[in-house]
Amino acid sequence: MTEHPPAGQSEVALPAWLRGRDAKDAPLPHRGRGGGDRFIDKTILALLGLLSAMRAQDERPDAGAPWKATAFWHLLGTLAAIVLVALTREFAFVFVVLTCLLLRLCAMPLADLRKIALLAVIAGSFSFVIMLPAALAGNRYSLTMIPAKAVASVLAVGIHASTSRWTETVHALRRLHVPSTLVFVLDIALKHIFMLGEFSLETLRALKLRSVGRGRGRRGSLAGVTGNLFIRSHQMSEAMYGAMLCRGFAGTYPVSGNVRPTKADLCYIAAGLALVALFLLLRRGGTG
Amino acid sequence: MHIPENYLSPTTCAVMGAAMVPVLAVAIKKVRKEVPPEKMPLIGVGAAFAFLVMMFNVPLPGGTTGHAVGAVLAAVLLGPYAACLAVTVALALQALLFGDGGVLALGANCFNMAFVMPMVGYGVYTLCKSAVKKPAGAYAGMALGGYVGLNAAALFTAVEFGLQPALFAAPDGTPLYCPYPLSVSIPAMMAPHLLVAGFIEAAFTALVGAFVMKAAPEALDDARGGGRRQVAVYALVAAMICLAPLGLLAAGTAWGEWGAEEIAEVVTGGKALGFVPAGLENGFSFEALMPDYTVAGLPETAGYVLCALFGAAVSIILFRLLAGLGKRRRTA
Repeated sequence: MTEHPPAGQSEVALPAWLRGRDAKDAPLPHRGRGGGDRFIDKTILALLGLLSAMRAQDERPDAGAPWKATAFWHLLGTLAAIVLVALTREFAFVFVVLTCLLLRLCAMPLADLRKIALLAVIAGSFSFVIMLPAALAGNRYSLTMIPAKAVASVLAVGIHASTSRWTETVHALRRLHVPSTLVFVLDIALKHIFMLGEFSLETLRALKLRSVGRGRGRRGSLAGVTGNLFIRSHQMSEAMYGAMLCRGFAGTYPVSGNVRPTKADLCYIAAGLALVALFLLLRRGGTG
Repeated sequence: MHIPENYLSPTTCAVMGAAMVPVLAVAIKKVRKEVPPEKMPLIGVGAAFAFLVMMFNVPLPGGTTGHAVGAVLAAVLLGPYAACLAVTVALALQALLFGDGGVLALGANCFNMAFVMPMVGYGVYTLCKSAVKKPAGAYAGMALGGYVGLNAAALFTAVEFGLQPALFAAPDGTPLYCPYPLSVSIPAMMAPHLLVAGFIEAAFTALVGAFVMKAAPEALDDARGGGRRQVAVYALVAAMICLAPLGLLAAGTAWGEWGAEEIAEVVTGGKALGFVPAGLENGFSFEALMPDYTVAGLPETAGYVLCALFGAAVSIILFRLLAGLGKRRRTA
């Protein structure tokens, strides 16, 4: 709804959402109940979040800093932590891992910290709620263990995802001997999620601007947007193959790079081995 | 339907992951054979498409929105094997980079959403299409394929959850992972999928598929290469997949003593009768695990230091979050 300017002011009244610093930063106008395009708003917001996350991780200034472990070792460590946390039956071990992860989280930039903490809180409370009925039936193990484990796993993945560039993760997967076809597909997918995401964002914005007020057939237009997205992907893949051929693509996907662990890697590996040792120690103590 | 970490035992995750290896191997082989080399990038771009489709919100009656999985749509548009690869990659990206679905549970998630769902859905689609030769047959096949595919995936997820308490329990009977047996997990998973999510998937698949068929039929034929003859093969795979949970169910009920009623009886017969739910709130069990800042299983000093570190980390995080909140408000 348009707000009237206060008395004495003669300028043209702008709706609240246009008066902000920048129109794109302001909340999207609410159309009330009859509008029926809330799904467009939600999709636009989801896509915006995705695109800004992708941009943020690409522009990360400290990625590859000398005090950081290489993405390869970081990925290995993250996977090991997740496996050990899933395997253990000792709360003490989960607690140790949680503490380590929280200490690492303390040192992260605020934006990342906020994002990961939110994810962890959601995962933890979701598990807690899911486990409540079981707890009421007398199973208290699940009520503490599963939420704690869920939080630890989400923290581990979140920290990995926001400390290394995604291209580095894909590179690390290749070094873990994931088949080259899959790595190739992953790599292309990552690049195209960004491009196709921007494309669908533009289309959805256009759809929103052109459908003012009450409208019918918006479900059909969503199908159109998705269908166009597919046709666009099809064209993009053709263009990409042409570009690959021009650059001498021969069907293989070799990986080069420094395999020698750095000092930071060695510290990281030592910490990981200590964790494995603790896991084994607690396990023997638990069963013996 | 993304299974999070720690709801399935690592053994189950390993088994499901191992089951995905031959599936992916066959898919890669089929794609290499059926899809000409110039179409190879299409799978990567198709994965990006599958990933983005999961972000599209679909309007629901009553003003709310939901989102479709899109695996059957991908199978119709890209072909079932390419869809299998594309959805696998989309799920891997979600697990590794967005924390959506567990990393260990990736095998299980891929099995449900990248194998069962597109294969069953595509099987139903091809059956319908060959039964009714008109375009209406294809559209109906897409809708039905979406509905059946999604529900088949949901059933598999429910069975995987439901087998956990029977297979992985501590010696005293406490389930170590998902604590709900089949009798709870199947109705809890299937009701929302049969009643709501299935219809979203059906409408989404049919509408988008119909749009592409009308707008760019040549893209559809190109993308799938020549692999459209094997109706019988897909039907067989679909039937086998549908029958597999029945076998698992039969095996599951053999452990009669693990059913929900029995466990509940054991518990209520003992001291748990007259249990006060309020006593189960947050702090209660946590305190029991760490009385006086000691962690069960660790030496006293280590436990104390650990608790101090844990507390310090949590307070720093809270402080930084609060400070960030204040700063944001001031600039706004």
